[in-house]
Amino acid sequence: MFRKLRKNSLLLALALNLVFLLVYLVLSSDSYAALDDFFMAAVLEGAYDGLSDTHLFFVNSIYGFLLKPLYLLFSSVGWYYIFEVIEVFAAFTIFTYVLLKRLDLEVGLILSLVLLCCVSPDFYFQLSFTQNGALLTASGVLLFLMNLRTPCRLWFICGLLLFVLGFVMRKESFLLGIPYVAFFVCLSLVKKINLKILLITVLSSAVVLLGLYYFEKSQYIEPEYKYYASYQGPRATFVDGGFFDVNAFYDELAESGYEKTNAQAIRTWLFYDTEIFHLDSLPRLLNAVENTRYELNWSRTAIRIVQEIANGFKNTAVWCWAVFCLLILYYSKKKLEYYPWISLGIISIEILYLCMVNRLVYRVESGIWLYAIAFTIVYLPQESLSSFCNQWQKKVAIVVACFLAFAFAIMEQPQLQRAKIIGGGYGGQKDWSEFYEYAKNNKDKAFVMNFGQYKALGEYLKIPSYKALGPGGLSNIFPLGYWNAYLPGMLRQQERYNLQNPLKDFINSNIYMVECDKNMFLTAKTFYEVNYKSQLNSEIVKRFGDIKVVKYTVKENEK
Amino acid sequence: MKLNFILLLSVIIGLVFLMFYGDSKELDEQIMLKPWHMQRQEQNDSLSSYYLENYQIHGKGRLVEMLSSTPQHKVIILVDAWGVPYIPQNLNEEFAVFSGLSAKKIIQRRLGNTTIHAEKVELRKKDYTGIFLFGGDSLEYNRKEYMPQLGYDKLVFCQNCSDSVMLVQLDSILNENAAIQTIAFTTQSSRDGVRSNLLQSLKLIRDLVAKHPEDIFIIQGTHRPVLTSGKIRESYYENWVPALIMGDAH
Repeated sequence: MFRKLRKNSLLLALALNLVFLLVYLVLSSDSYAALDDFFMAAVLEGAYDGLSDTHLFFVNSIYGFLLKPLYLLFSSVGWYYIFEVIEVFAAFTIFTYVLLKRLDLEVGLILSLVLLCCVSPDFYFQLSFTQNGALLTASGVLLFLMNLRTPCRLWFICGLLLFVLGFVMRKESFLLGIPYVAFFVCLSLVKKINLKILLITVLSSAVVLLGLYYFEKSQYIEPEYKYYASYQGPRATFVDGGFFDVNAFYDELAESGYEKTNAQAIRTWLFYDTEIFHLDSLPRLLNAVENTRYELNWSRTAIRIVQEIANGFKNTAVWCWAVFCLLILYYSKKKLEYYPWISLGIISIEILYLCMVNRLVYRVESGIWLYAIAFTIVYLPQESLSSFCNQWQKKVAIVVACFLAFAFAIMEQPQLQRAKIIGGGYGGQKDWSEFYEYAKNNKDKAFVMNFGQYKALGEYLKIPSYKALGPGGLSNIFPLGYWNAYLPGMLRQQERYNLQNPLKDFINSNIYMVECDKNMFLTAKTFYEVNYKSQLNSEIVKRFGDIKVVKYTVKENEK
Repeated sequence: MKLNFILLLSVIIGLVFLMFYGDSKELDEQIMLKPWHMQRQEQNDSLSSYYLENYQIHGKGRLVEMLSSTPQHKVIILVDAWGVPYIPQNLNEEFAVFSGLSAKKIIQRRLGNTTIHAEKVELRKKDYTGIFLFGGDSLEYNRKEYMPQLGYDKLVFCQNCSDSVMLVQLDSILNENAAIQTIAFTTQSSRDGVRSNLLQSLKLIRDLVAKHPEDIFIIQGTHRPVLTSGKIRESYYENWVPALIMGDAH
């Protein structure tokens, strides 16, 4: 069997990756790093009104269509999660496969170990669609490059599949890989390598990508879905945007007579009021954002880019990039090997772009580095590298270093603790599980909660993600501001509870507010009293540790 | 031969060194509110030495409390969107409008950047009689409600009236010599941050002050221009406004 493995790079790659997958399954919290994935899965599971919906918004709808049959067959399985794990596994298997295929067995094995130990923990432990987008795109391009050098139909087909799937998972992550694609295309054109295959690759990818792009567009034509999709842009600007002067934004609105409480509300994710924050009323706020947008301070930005690249070295993935690049330059027989510098340049430009929108977020950053690492694989010089680890002492040292790096990488993962405690005044594991049970047994009541609570609930519900919430799992729980606001399935469910306008109707007799001891500075109560000109009474109906279920009513004398 | 290798190695060593010793704490502070790489160097809000040397700085408390005498009338005029520019010449020009009159030139701390904030902070009063004038709708900012709470028993609103119209009214109130202790007025012609409008309003105010040498005038900016382009707004200090005291025995 061993002899078989030695000969077959693919089998060897699979075996090696299975070991790492196993380690992940044992150590991880069995869940996503980001809540977005959890709530997208909830859309697919039909957690709101019981009907599975393919409009995932951040992920292309085609993905929803592909997974939907599985949910219809086995509704209690978290297919979305399982497929995300498979994607990570597949991409790393491709990376190792190409390493083993290109290099001598021993060197290939050792470098695969470096790659898997240093890079894979981030992607397994911080599972998210954003990272998977980069991972899949990179593995697809890698197979394209292999196919360009030694044509092989299977590589091309798998490459196309992975490349396109990267686009499906998250087009922003996919786009981070485009500078590399452009570079490789130019290079092939200049060197006139296999122009026919290049043409086929570029054309076929372009056709499929365009098809998917227009398919996605066609999914949001219906008025309800159109409104839902149109709302995402402004929402993200207010709640995620850190690129404008927030105080000046408040000032400008207040000075022009806009209610300051409302400006603060939308900024702190308290925006599910279908009248006051109707899409038509947002341009005024968006103008204020535009008007208070910061400009880049170029000299400071330059410092920031260098510092961000340096800080990358806190992450083991970047060690892998450094090791591979140094190996390339040390063993290269070419006069001028430039890939390490090109990748460093692309990394800088992409960090610059993220600086411009002030969205230097961990999961995006790991994608930037991943692309740079993935393509080092095709630049590792095959022949000269065979002398890299010819002594056994060297081999042992490298393997030990790999395991140390792996241990370090795993220790760094906040996802390590299986039962992650939410706590901090936002309710612990036990509190939320009791509340969820209570909500499930009181389907005549609906529960609303603001961003902080909704997230805490998500953090509890998402573990373990291999189990689905199931249809109707969130049928009587609504956020007062989250990205799934206005999802048609949620709207239909709101209608059933007579909760057409959550921030106004939460005083209805069947609606209860879920609060925690710790609260965001602006509450729905304040919002209501400012906008709907009535004072509210509150009464705690139920308590689960830090969590309170509160009934708000309009004060009698004001009715 | 391996120059390329050595170059990359030194870059990596340099980066690792930076990782340990680089100051990313300052960089990450307030990343969502005031991202370090999006702030101008001079954007800290401490006044330049020119201002510190040439003008009296008033850090805390209402300007009214600085008065040393208690005259029959005191007039407080809040000039909308009058800020302290980073370029001192502009402010000098604005102060120069009042040349020839004895005035105490002050730069005052203003923590909020809205007119409503300036009014609530500066116009609150303890004496008995007061009148407030504004050349606009009484519903704006809900003045009808909070002005009486600040201690003004008489409110004069005039729809769409420019500063010149309002200053004529103010002049006649002063001429009537009625028993009104505090007369407050918030201008509005300069609210859009257009400098020529501001200078025009200041000139009109100067003419009024010149006509009433017996009264005390406090003239102060509400806040830096807010309802204007970002470029103009950012040419002013965030939390400082100019002010003048005239007619007070020094």
